[in-house]
Amino acid sequence: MNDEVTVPRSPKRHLCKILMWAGLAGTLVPACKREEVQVYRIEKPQPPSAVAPSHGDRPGEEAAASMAGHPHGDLEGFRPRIEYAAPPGWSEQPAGPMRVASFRVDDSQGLHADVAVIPLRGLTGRTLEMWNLWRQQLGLPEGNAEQMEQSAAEIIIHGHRGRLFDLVTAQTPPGESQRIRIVGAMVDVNNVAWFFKMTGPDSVVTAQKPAFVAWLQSVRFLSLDTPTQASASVEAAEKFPQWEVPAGWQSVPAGAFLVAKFIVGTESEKAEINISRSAGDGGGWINNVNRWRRQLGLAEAGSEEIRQQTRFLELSSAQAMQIELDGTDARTGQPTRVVGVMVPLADEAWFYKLFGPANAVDSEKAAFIRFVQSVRY
Amino acid sequence: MPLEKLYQFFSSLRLTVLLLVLGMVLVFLGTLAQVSLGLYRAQNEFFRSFFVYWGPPGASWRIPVFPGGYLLGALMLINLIAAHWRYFRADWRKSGIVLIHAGLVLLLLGQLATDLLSVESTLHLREGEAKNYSEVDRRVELAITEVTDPAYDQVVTIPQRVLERQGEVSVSQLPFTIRIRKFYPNAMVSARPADATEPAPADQGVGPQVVLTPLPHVTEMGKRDVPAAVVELVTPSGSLGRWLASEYISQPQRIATGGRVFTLAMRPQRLYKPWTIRLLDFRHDRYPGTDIPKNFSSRILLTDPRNGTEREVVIRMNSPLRYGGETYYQASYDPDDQGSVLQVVRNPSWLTPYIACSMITVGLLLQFTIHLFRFAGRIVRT
Repeated sequence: MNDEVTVPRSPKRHLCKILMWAGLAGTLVPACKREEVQVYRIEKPQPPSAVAPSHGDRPGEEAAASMAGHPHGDLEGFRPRIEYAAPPGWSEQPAGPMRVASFRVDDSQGLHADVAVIPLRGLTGRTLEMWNLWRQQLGLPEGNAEQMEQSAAEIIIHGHRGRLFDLVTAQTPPGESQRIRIVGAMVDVNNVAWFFKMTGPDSVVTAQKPAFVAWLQSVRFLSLDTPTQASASVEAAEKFPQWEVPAGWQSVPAGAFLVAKFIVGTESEKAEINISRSAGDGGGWINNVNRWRRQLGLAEAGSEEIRQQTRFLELSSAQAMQIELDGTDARTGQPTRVVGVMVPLADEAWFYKLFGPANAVDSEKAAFIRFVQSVRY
Repeated sequence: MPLEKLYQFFSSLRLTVLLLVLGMVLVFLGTLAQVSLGLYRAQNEFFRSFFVYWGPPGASWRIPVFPGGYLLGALMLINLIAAHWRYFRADWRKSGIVLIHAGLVLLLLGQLATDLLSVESTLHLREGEAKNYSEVDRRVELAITEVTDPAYDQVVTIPQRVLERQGEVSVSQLPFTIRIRKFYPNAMVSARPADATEPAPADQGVGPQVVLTPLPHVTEMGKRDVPAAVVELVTPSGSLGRWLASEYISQPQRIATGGRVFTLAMRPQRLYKPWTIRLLDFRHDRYPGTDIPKNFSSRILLTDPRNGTEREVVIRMNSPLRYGGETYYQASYDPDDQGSVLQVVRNPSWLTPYIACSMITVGLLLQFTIHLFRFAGRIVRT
């Protein structure tokens, strides 16, 4: 390094100093440019043609009507869409600027709850903030992430794992006849945070909660390429079946890997119905029967033995396999009976499992078979 | 003499090495920081700053911990000029070196000018729509428009940088002073529930009917903050109340005072132009039987009343339109293929990298050629 070269004293050094400081000043001065207030005249733009609908019966909704469905934090302007099967008795309302779906749910006492579906781009991963926003709306103190997780139930909506919350005011708010309850689900789909929320008097929301959960499981998130349909039923949804749920079956949040789950019977004699689907043949009939056998503490059986126990079930669109197994539930240690059905389709397989105490399973078996036969793929 | 020491310091080749090492470390740290801060904020905090600041999480204070891109760039430039001046000896055999260094100086200055002077915005058009302005994605402005005149609107825009100062704005065209009471860099505005207990963010317009929730900065790419502001309008005879402005409120809020009518709205910062662009047709061709884009292009009509220009132009990827000092690139499109998004770049120094790279290339060729001839001459002589 020739850093120690002696600098010859000459007039050019003065020029050098001037250049140095000029360079520094030239570098810094443009950085200090400021944006200022502007005033200008423009021709009047065309008036907007769209008028936001008004929902006078919902507090605060007129304000929301003047709000854009401005996807928070998003640079795009297109609103995500869904399809669903609306439960009977729910009255569909105009969606409005923020909502992509809206319902009014009346009860026989003249009370009603409000159901809203709001997609917000850019708010994914903000479940805690939004949960606290709901708590704030009910006058509840803010909670932390741990409290939120404890209060959440898992729910799968169109294959996306979300959280289901049930919140209620501590007291009856002034002017109301009873406490206000919110049952809501939050799920992130790609870059969109979806909020499904039922708000209303405690009695209405509590009574409608099973229908709300069942409705959530009918929801299909549409890609932007999917043709627009204002409110399509599940029949229009791609490869999602329509079924007739027997009376007395209660829809509950499905766990991971399940499409839907129902329970039926009393607490002591409760049977459960799990519905799942897999791509291809889902591992095949033999492997799935052996999986059920392991869950019941039974040794794996050979393919010939399983074939002998298998019954065939005629469906309108396919031929299904059915099997009945008895054993001990590995998780509960209770004697358990399983009625399992596999429906192989062209590119996927559906699995239906009725399980629980033998008495409960036997009493629901006929309804279960009718249910499986009712499914339209 | 202190000035001489300063000169020696700035012309030191050790400083050159130190600055290059610091530059490498800065690039490394800035790249890592993109994970937590996102591209836009990492660029601003590491490269478009004089210092990189750090503070404990949750603390309101921050201290400079590392030189930022502007400081390193400025020091490199000074060092380059000073060192060249110090060690320069007039000699035609070093003319290539001089050219290379001049190219580097131009490159540094050009990039600084690009960073400081270039403006990027977007122009989103649906088919058949015409606009004479583009919008800056990540900056907002508060627009107060007088709509009293049936033919023209008079617009007063307050840019985000002024809103951030939370001061007072008075212009002669408005009968009131705008006091920016609060500015939120990112906040959500939602409908106010009937049983909400917290005070409303504002008492006029939609203010009493909404809830304002401040949010942390958005860090993901492709997303941005949605700022909000609470402003108070004050006339000589008293206050007109407080108004909330946010992009969430899509309908402009009306203000009537003294027989004049105004609207108030927060919107992306607009850059008006003396010409108009109308989207005639957007094409999105795919490879047959697939969804793989083959080509997308916008056919636009450019109208400039200043010089009577009225011509159709097709803008495609890698084939932008250059007009009036701006470049229009095909950037994106609407999912339904009925709209197009053009990126609009105004960069007064866009030619400097081309000139600088040409100078460096010529300098390198010159220097190597001189060395080659001198080497060949020595061989011939021996």
